[in-house]
Amino acid sequence: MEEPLTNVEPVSTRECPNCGQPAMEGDHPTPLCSDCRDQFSRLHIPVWIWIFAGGIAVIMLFSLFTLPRSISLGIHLEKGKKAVEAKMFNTAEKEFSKVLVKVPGNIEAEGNLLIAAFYNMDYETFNTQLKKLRDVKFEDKTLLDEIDKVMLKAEGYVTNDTLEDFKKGFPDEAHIPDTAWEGYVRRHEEDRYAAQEYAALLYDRKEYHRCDSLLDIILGSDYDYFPALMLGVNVRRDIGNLTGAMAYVDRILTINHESSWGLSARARTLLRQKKIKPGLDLALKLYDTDKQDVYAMSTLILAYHFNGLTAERDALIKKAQSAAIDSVGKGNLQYALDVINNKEKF
Amino acid sequence: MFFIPGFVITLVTFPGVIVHELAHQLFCYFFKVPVFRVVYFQLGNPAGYMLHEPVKNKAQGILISVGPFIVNTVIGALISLPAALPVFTFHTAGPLDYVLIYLGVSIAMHAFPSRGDADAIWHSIKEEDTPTWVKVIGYPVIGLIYLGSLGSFFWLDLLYGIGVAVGLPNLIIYLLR
Repeated sequence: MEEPLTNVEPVSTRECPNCGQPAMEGDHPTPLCSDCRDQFSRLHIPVWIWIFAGGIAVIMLFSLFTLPRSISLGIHLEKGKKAVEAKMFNTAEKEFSKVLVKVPGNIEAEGNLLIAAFYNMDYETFNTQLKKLRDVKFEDKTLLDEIDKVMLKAEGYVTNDTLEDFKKGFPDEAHIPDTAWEGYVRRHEEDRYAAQEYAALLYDRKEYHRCDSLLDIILGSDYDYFPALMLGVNVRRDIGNLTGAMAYVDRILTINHESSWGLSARARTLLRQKKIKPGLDLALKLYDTDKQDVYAMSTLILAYHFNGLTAERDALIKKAQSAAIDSVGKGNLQYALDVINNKEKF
Repeated sequence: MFFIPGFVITLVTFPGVIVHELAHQLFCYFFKVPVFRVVYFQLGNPAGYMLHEPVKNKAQGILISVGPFIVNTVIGALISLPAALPVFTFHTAGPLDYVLIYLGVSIAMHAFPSRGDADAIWHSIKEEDTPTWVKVIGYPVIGLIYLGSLGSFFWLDLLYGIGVAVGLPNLIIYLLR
């Protein structure tokens, strides 16, 4: 609160009310002498206020010192949430991982990382998150609903006791008769995993049209079922239905705009459609987002090959050979090498 | 709504009262207006006040009155900014973070000019020689101050303090993402 002093002597007295000396010349509301005016205009602050202000200043300095870390973490968290909203799950997974390095156990980041990992088909991270969050109580109902949605979807990604019991009923699980499979799938319409396993079997036997029909049924009951969409892309490419393959790729990319597999599949389909330059551009873009991803490397190797860039192709093959440490990576690279050596039809 | 005696709130949030009076004093110093008495904090009504020479420049008078709104808001936000996220978002806060939030809210909630400040502007700008543009700015400011004063009965000042200390950091993060 500030109050102007109004009950002061009029200027006409020309005598300083503070010390009695002659007041200053000039049009001042209070007739102070020069010394008193100068004295009252200075900043007089008691020692205890200086100490108080000093304390506040120290706290402010400390605040400013810790501010960048806090802001940076907050930005990573918000970027991750924004990426989830925009269905850019690759970015989301990276952002939430950065948050969790600094703030392990942050429920919001942990929960969102689980969601992002699922849509990125990063099942290793997904399983890790699942274990971490098993007994965690969520206060954020929206996040909990999203996690529940993902968990419901994830049920179709793992086998179940009924299916295992069914398979055990046959001496050789690899040679279960088609009639038995068809009967099981018909009786257990909700079991996407079983239908997918049977579709994969048909694909391995190169029964592409039957496989495609079965995938249609699976995707009719679960629009987002990644394994069926991925197999569908391969089936349709193999039967020469590139437009149909691209439709499945688009569906994958609608679910996750940054799906590494989806973008690779789009690049490969473009290459098959003889759109080799756009295919190369996309493969390069994908490789730039993750230079250690063997599937992205294999796609770029193919793109270099079909664009006649043999030096770049061979250099990348060397890099991919040292990066492919697991069987999936080795398989992906081997496919590209087989295409280059004309052992596999592309 | 629940009732807490004013002096308890004043006592608990005393850093804000001190910064408020200090802000008035600083603005007087910038404009070379003589200050005769400053009470930074007392257990009474008002909790703090300052006596200064009437200001001939009306715009300067308004700025001296609304100075705490600027200073308390900025200092409150700066102090609580790094603590708001550990406390409310990451749940990793230590004792110091809670101290920062307490200080930030206390200081920001005393940003609103008091009715005494509004009276000071009123007396100043109602005079005939006040330029029209100062009146155009001054009267709405007075109205807002009275509204704020009325709103403090409904914890508007506390809500503002929390908004500055908690809402602002989250808004900044949201805009920067």
